[in-house]
Amino acid sequence: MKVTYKILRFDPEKDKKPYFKDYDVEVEPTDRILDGLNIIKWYQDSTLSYRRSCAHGICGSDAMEINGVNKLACKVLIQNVGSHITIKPIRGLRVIKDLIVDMEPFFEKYRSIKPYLINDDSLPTHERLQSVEDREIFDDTTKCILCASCTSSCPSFWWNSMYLGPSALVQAHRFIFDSRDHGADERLEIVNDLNGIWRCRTIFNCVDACPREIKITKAIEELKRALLHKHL
Amino acid sequence: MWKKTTFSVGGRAKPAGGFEMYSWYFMRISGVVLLLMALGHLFIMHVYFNVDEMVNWDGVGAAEFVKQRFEGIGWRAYDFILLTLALFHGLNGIKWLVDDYVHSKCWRLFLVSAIYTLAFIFYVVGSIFLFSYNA
Ligand code: SF4
Ligand code: FES
Repeated sequence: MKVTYKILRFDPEKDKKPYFKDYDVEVEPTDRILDGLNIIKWYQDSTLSYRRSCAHGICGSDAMEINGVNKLACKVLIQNVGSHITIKPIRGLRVIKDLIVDMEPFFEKYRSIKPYLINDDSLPTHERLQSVEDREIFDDTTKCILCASCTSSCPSFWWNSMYLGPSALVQAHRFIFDSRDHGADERLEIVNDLNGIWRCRTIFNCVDACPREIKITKAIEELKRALLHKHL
Repeated sequence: MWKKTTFSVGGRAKPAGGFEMYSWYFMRISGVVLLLMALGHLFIMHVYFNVDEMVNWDGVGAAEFVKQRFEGIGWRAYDFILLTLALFHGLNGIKWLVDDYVHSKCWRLFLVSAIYTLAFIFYVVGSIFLFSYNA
C-alpha cells in the first residue's frame, strides 16, 4: 500500500518558517504510523527528527498531531488513518526540530504538583497496604504515561501556557485520592488557582486525545468537587 | 532556551486561590437557577398571562399588567434575583473570556475594570428602577 506522509518540518538553525514536506512510502496497512516514519528516516531522509523509544505505547515519547488529532504514532495503524497522513508536532510547546518539542515547561508543571508520595508517618515495617476499593478511586489516573497529548490538545493551554494543563491535574488526582498519601491538602491548594484547575473549561479535547483512555475531565471534576468540599 | 515559568500569576509560590473557586461555583449554581427562572418568566409572561395579547398597541395593557405585578414585593424580589444572577453570570463569563484571551497587563487592567464598572452601574440602575418604580 502506498501512502503519503505530509510532515511539518522545521529546523530553527536553517528555516525561517515551518513548511510541509511530502514523502511517499510503501507500507503494509497493518503497519503503524511510526513504522512509516522509520522508513522515511532510515531510507529516504535522515534529517527528519522525532522522538520514539518503546514503540509500544508505554513511554509516551512519540505524541504528535496525526490528521488533526493528538496520538501516539506507535499506537495508530495506518489502515485506520488512510493514505494521506498529515503529521505536525504537538501544539503549545516550542519546536526544537521537526516533531520534537521542548517538554520542559510540561514537566515543570508536572513537578509543581509534587508527584511523589508524601507521608511523614514513621516508616512501616512492611509495605503500605491498600484495599481494593481504595485503589479503585484513583486507578484510572495511575495509567498516565506523561505523553502530553492531552495538555497540548487543550485550547485553554494554547491560549495561556501558564495553565497547569490536564496532565498535571491527572497526576495531582493520582496522589490526592491515594489513601496512602498525606499530601492531599497541599496539592489541592496548589491546583486551586486561576492558572490551575479553574482554567479548565470542560472542553473534553484531552479525553479525545488520551492514548490511555483516561477519563480526564471526570478526574478534573472530582478535584473541583474535592476543593469545594474542603472549603464549603 | 525555554523561559522559566511559574504557572501562578505574579510568580506567587503558593496560589492565593479562593476567589476563582467561588466564581466557578457561582457560575454552576446561578446557571441552574437562571435556567429555571428564565423558563418560569417565559411561562408566566407568554403562556399563563399572554402579554402579547394584552398589549393593545398603545402599550396601555402591558403597563397595567406591570403595575399589578409590582404591587406586592414578591414579583420585585423575583425580578431582583433574576437581575442579580443574570448580570453577574453574564459579566463573569466575559471576565473568563478576558482571562483566557487577553494576556497584556494593560489591556487586562482596562477590560477587567470596565467589566466591574459596568456590573456596578447596571446593578445600581436596575435595582433603583426595580424598587423605586411607583405602581
Ligand atoms: S493523561 Fe493521557 S494524554 Fe495526558 S499525558 Fe497522561 S497519558 Fe498522555
Ligand atoms: S514510542 Fe513509546 S509510546 Fe510510542
